[in-house]
Amino acid sequence: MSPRVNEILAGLARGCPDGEGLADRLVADCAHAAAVTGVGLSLTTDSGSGAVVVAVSDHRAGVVEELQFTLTEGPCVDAARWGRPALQPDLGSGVRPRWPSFTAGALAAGLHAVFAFPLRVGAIQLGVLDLYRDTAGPLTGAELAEALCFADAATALLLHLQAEVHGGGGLAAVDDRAEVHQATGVVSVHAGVTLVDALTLLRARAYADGTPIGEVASAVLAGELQLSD
Amino acid sequence: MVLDPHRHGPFDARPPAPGPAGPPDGHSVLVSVVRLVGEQDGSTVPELRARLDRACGLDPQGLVEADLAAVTFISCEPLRVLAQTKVRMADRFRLTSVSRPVRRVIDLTGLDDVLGPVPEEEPEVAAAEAAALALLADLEGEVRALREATQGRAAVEQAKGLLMGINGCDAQHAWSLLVRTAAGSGVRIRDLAQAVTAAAAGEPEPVALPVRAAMRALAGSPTRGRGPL
Repeated sequence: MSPRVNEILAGLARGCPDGEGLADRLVADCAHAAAVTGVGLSLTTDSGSGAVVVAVSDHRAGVVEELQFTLTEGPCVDAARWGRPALQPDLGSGVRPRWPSFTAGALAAGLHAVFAFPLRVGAIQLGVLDLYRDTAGPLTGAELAEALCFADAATALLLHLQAEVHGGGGLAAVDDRAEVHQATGVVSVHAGVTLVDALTLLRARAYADGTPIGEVASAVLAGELQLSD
Repeated sequence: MVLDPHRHGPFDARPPAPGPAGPPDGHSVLVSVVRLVGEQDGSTVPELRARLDRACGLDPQGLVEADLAAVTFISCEPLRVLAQTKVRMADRFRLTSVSRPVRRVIDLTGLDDVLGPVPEEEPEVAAAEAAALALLADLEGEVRALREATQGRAAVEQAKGLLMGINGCDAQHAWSLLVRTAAGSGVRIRDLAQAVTAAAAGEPEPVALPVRAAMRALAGSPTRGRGPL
């Protein structure tokens, strides 16, 4: 995990000491850091067709974000469905747009480029981070790197928001170690919950005990710790 | 997007092709060129397979060439189809040109042994714009391939965890169960892992028949304890 992701998360926590408005802050920070016009953060289902818009940095991003889910087509829908970034630096180019209705709507809103990043942890599809620009053109390497770090931070944020429903959890970056993913699967079976809830349980325990999640995962795998909902 | 195979004239009528592509006796044979452009992933596989099958069936002695110079992204699924075609057609099939993103994925997957030597794409258009686009495609392709690989690995670990929870076994046992079942059913470990996590999430059965068969094999495996599989 890049140190930049922790830096972004620390910045969010500092900016929202009471834990309110974290998502709004993230999309605003992301728009600034990646030098784009607007940013939208959405929770999605696995199929990518259903979604809830969590935060948008401005009105236009909100319009286009809603548009995609109404039409069930667009880069964000594709990113969620296929689990990989959908980058379209020039919506106005091309005789046959990939997303005809979405493209028309986005152009009408004055947006010419869109970059959608899926927010996933393995098989868990959490959401999508969409970046919009009012001018055509690709993200530079540095902007792309920023966007990817913000996508990782957004993944952590969505898990954090999920944890709050279950009674708490820290705003920590996702630990990409094999043991954590394996323990997620084990907890899912033992506690009879979905993978995302299992990951939430692991994170909540790590947060409550002040233990690194890797240690919680190892304890689960060793059979020393049982987590339940 | 796959364009129609362009029928070229007899092999002799083409500019002399480098490499040992021609049939030994110098007979006139049909050379069908299947040209792939843009993004190639699971969604384009059925079309790719149909085009290749048609091109391969045109002339029992004919040659089939795949031109991947204009491919901006390729995932493992279409690459697998190309490798299968190569195995089936041997010297009658070859890749004539690949873009850099394709080259990178071929190298990463070790399929260069199967697919044989492929000339790297020559930049035909000297315009700076084309170079910039190629660079962008390269960067995007790399970002996508890397993200796909990371999430794929995590999903396999989650699937292992699910099997560990269900069977009460350790990670190594779960891994060998996955490997054996995948090999026995002719599906990729990653596809099987995805099917396992999807089944755990209560999603509909995977569409691909071999994956379905593999799931049945997993569910019927003697070490099965309890669980959703």
